[in-house]
Amino acid sequence: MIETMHLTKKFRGEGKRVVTAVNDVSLKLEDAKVFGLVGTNGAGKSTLLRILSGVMKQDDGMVCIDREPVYNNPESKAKLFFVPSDSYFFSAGCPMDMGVYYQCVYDTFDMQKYLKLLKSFNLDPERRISEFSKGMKKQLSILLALSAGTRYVLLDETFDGLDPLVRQAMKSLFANEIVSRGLTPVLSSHNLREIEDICDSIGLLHQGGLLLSSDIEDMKLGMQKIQVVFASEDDRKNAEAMLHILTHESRGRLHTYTVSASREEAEQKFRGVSTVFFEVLPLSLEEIFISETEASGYDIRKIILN
Amino acid sequence: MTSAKSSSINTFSGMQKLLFKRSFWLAALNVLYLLLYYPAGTIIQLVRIDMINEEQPLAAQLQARFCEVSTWLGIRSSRLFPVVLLGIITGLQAFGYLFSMVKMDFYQSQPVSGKRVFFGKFVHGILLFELPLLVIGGLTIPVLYFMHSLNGAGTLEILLQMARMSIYFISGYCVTIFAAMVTGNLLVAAGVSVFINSMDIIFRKLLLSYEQQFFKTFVGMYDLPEKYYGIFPLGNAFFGSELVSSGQYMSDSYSPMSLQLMGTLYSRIFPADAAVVLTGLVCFIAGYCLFKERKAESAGKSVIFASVRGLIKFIAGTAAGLGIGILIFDVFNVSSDAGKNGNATMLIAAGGILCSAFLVSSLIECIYEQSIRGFFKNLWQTTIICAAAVLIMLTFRHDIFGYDRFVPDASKVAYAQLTHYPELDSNYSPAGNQNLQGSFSSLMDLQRQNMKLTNIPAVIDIAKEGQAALVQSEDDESGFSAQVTYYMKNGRIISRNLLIPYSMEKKKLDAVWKSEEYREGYFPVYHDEERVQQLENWDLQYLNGVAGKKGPQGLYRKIAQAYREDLARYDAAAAMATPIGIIRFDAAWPVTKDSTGTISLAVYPGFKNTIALLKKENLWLDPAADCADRIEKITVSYYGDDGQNASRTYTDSGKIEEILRHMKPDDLGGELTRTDDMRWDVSINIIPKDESGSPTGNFPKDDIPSFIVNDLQLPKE
Repeated sequence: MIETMHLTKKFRGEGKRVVTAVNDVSLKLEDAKVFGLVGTNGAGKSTLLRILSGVMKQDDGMVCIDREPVYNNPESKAKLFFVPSDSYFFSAGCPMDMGVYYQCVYDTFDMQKYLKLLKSFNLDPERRISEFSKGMKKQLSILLALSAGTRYVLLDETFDGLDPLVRQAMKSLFANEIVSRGLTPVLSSHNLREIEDICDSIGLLHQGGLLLSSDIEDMKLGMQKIQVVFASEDDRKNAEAMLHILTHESRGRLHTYTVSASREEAEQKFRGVSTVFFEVLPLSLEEIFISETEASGYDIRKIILN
Repeated sequence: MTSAKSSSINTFSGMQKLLFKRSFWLAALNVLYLLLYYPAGTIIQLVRIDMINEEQPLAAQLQARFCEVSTWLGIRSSRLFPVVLLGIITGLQAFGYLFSMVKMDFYQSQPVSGKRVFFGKFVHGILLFELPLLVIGGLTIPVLYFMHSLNGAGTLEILLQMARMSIYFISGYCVTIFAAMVTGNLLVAAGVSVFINSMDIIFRKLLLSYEQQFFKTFVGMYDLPEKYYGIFPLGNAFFGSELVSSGQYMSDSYSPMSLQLMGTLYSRIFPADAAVVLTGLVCFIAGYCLFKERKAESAGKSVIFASVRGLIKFIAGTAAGLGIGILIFDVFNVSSDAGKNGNATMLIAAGGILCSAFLVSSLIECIYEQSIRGFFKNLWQTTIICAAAVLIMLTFRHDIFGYDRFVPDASKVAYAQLTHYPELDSNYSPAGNQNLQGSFSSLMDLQRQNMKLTNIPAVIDIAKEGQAALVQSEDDESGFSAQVTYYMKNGRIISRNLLIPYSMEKKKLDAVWKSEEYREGYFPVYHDEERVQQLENWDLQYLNGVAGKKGPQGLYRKIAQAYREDLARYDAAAAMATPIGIIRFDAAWPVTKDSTGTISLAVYPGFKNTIALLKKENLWLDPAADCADRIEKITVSYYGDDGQNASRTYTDSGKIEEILRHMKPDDLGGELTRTDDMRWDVSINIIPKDESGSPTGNFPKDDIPSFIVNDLQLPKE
């Protein structure tokens, strides 16, 4: 398990200005589950990932893998593979060179698997990486990470630069790895829609702080989106009085509510009023976030990029 | 399950193998340099020296080869400088990953401890140089033996120099590692490394320049007997070769190496090498400590630590200010109207120093901030730097620390020298590449080698008055220019220029001039054991300033003996007298003789033994009686300050003899020749009958024949 407690990291900016990149972040990332780290540019995602992977040292708090600290601890670092947003490759090197290098670094690196993956994604092992496109380099980074055989993989701006087909293929790979060997990926992105279909839990960072961190299913179970047309105005008032409404939109007589309740609870309460039309709709992660954060006083629409 | 311990990067050989793949170009650079230096360079030098000496006997050719190899590959070589540069390049390559966040992400996330990374890279950098050095340098030795170009002492010398190359490489490498740890940018790290390595050179040059500018008793940058060493490898890389090429060791600069010579030279060079080792060690330890403290996010910044920023800014800003200041002084010295250190010059220099210190300090802030907006940042620091630079200049201007007044504590002086450039000079060196023992390039060189005055209070007495006279004098016409050098018991050598006034008490001068130590240090007829046999074969002539007479070979011993006997009564008064003749021994190319040079011995009026010997050997030539009938005519000319000139030519033998009896020939200069007692506005030009040259001269002020005074209507001085 990856665990952080009251993690804080500050940088000295211009002059004597101090920027708090990570502010009192406490997380528990369960094994064999995909954790998504979401936030706008400058939220602190990359910094947090660098601290988790032992590249940077925190100013305050603790970060542990299986209860062992990470920074300057080779044993802990051997369990994880960090893929930054901008990966480094050896100048004049080829994918084969990188594979050979990582084979010396990680004793669980599977060269056969790596070569097979390269072939699947049409990446020539002997071709110079400097000739690769941005997307190809990203693919290569991810394939190296998956071939390293580590328990945890931390990926920054994971799917940035990948086309939709490759993105889907990568997601399938991750899913297979999770199932087959219990891989625990930690993915960061500024785009919620990009990772919502793969993540089991999500953390939302804003200005260094953790606004929200929860299991997606738990969030979905406790929240419903309902579209309804009431028979009368009185029915509407009665219904609204019974529900814990998070958001409400109306177009004429059609009302759309996001309520904090289970599906059964919601249906039960609407049986008590007269409705012309009633339907429970699927909630997107973005809608869940907006609802949750608005309740906390943030206008999430300003935070999450479309 | 992954384990860090079982991965090969966590083994020494595994890490070195990985690193080597990424540093192949650097290994190739080191190999290329060492190949050019060792086998290629040595063979080229040997071919060159063989071509020069192809007419020489085989023994001489072999000696020449030994010398050539020794001076190319041994401790007299100046080729430690490229090695330090290789150390700098290696340091930047090894730890350059610290400057890029992309590379930091790559390396820092890997399961290797920081300590292992640091030491692994450190050792790797050393191996990149040491392995080729040992292989290429080591293989060169048997090759040279096979070519009959190396002996036992030479082998030891090459091995010693290889050890020195290692020291200088590692030290330059460690200084660069330190520079890399305090910076976050490759260019800035390179600049800081070169700056730190060059600080010795920069500040020594500045110090000497300011001493030369403001201190009248400063002996001049190129006349300093002591060669200074610093603590950084780049400056000290030149120390050995500078020392060997200085006057004290000139005779050893090109001679076969012996164990004794190696010991002598290296005992002088060792302190510089020890300083370099210490500096390397300190930088290594500091570098490792800073590596542990350094944060990953420092990548891309210019200078990381605030205290280091301030220090670099202060040193660079002050140096820049003082450097511009000395340039301004140089420019103004060209104009005689400006005055050397007049008020106008001082004001302009102070302005230049302020501007330069301000500009450089502000530019450094821009580099730190990586933005032009940094120009006016930390103005309080910039102000202090500007003020410090001007203050330092004023310290020199007003000689706050008493440079010109300095005299040492006599009890701390081992021995001293009072040296000067006489009018009559001598030099000696054997031909070809033989042992140069006993050789000297000038009388000044001879004095440096042999003079050891132990009556320190007497020397100090003269020096005190001489220094004060030099500081107060407007010109150097009121005394003799000389130099005092103190060889301290702690190894330091301190020199000052003097102006020994003509009016100095003779008793004071005789305390030194009458001493055996002085005579033995000044005159080449002492310490001549190595050259006596050769000098017997040199050409001999006696010159009296008007004419000359050639003598037979084989008289050196006798003349030297007589001369030494006369010198037993030598004193300051004799030194100031005008000689009546010169005995000259000459040897020149082509090489029918085994040495070359000129030994000139001034014959003073009181040198009875020498004069008697010259007469006995039929070498004596009276300037008046014996030379008058050799002269066709003499022209005496007067050049008045008011433009009034006059000239008269004499052909009458009586008048010619009279002129010869009174005149002082220009070619006759003694040890301490006065210039204030001559009539310089009246010149004498002699035309011999055989047209062999045209000697010139002047009259003493109080000794002009009356007919000259009348004929030219000379005004009284």
